[in-house]
Amino acid sequence: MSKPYVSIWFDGRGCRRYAPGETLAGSYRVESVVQDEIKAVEISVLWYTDGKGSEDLSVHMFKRLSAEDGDWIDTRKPGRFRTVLPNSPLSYDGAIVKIRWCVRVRVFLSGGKELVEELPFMLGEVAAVRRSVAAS
Amino acid sequence: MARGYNRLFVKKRKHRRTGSSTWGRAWEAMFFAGLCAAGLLGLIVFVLGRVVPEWKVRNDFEKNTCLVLDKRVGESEEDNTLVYRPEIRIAYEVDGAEYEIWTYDIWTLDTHGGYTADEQRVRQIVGHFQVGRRYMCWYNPKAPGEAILAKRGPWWDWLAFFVPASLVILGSVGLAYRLVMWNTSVERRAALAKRRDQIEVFARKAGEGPEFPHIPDSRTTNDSPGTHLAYRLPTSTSSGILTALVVGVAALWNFASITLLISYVQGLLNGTTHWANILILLPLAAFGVWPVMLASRRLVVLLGIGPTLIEMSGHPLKPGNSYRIFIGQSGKLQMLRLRAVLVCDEEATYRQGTNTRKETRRVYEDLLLDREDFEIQRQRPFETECVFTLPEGLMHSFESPRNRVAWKILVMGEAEGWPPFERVFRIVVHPNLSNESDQPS
Repeated sequence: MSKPYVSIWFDGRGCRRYAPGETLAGSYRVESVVQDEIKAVEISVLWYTDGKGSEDLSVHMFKRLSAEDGDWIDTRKPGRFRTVLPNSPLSYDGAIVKIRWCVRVRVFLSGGKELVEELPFMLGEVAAVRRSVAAS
Repeated sequence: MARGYNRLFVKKRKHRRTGSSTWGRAWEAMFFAGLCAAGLLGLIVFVLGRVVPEWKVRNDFEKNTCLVLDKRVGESEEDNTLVYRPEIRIAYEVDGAEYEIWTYDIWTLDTHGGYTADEQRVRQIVGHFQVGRRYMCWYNPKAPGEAILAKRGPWWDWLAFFVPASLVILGSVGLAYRLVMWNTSVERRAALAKRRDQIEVFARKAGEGPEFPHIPDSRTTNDSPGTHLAYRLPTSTSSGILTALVVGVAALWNFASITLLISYVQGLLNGTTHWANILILLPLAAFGVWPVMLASRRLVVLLGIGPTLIEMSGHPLKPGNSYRIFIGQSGKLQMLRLRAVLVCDEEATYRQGTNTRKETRRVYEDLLLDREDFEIQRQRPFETECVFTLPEGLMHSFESPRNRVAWKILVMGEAEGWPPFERVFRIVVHPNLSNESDQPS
């Protein structure tokens, strides 16, 4: 049996840039894992900061499916997520502050193991900071 | 394609993270468990040493009268320090049998108990009793040879209860939180925190969530209408706080230096201080001149130069739009230069070892005004208006606990006979969602 992994994809578009207020929808699938092994699955749409500073993280959408709570986690067909994106913060590639948006799926397996996978996307159209400006 | 993600590391050194989060959580849990255990141990010691003896006296001992035969201040040595306790010799009778003992309270019944370093208080207690007079006492019916003159210890001993109790509360809450969160993902914790914040916001405003999350609220800025344009911007309070801080440091440093210097000089005259002490203190005292100069300079700028006014035709700002700005400077000044600049600074806070550091990087700068060599009269303040455009594609204001994108207008001035000054006006920039283009009114 191959190594377990999670695949995530967005609905019907190649571009991963979304506008504020637009609906983000997609699917995920846990591959190469026996259904009984999965204790819980968490799906989040979130942003986190990258760059010089310590990481800040905020979750825009969070959904947890737990086998213990009686949720049906089916590995045979893809799970769905859907959310209306907020007005801010927009994705940003600054000099020392960067804001990254992504969809993250975390699978809790029996024995305390975890599988984490994320799919980045862009929110809004903020220009990257030119390094020459930042350095001046 | 999805990117593999495994956040095993939590401590960040520049762009690198080190340390296992599992170990981090384990150490945190152990730390709080240790606090809790230390607190529990302290509570047990307190209960056994303070609460139980008093409870025993209150419930078991019976009232009687006694005759004071003698009194003294008992002395002992603990860790090379003299400690004291009141010792009163009393005679009393129980069921026809006569007893004579040295006593005061339940703790002095123990050969090594009841000692304190507070000699003065012990002497006061001993002085309170007069030899040959009768006093109330309490004896132990199960062991009539045990009797005391005071049922309770000093009330302030109970203050010691708060130390172990605080440790127990702090330790148990910390431990419980860490155990509950042990297998909770960072996303779930963030979602729980967000829900808690939303509940607080709903309770406060009974309204919706913010329209622009993680962008500073501009409503307080917009509360103040301008006389020339729609909004008058408040000046940043950080300059006043910094001035107060510098004044405080100058006052403290110089007070400490002067007090020490006086005491050393007196000691030198009395022959109790070596002159080398003064030699060491002199450069430290001289260093105190620097914060005084800095404080005076800041106070002069704060109080001496007139206020700076900034008014805007629109606020919050949106990229792609143009705005009118009014700049006013009052006072009686011969200006060498006055500049107003619109800037955007990125601010990042990070841990480096055990220190918390903050770095700021300017990513946008637009010169709004640059005037040289002009005079400002007290009755005729300098006033000017200009128009500027915020280019499209710029980042909006952003605020999170450790990262920030801050927009501000800086007014920097140089006037003859005055130190250079800078005034900061924070502004808020929103994303331009509809790409609407407002023209200045």
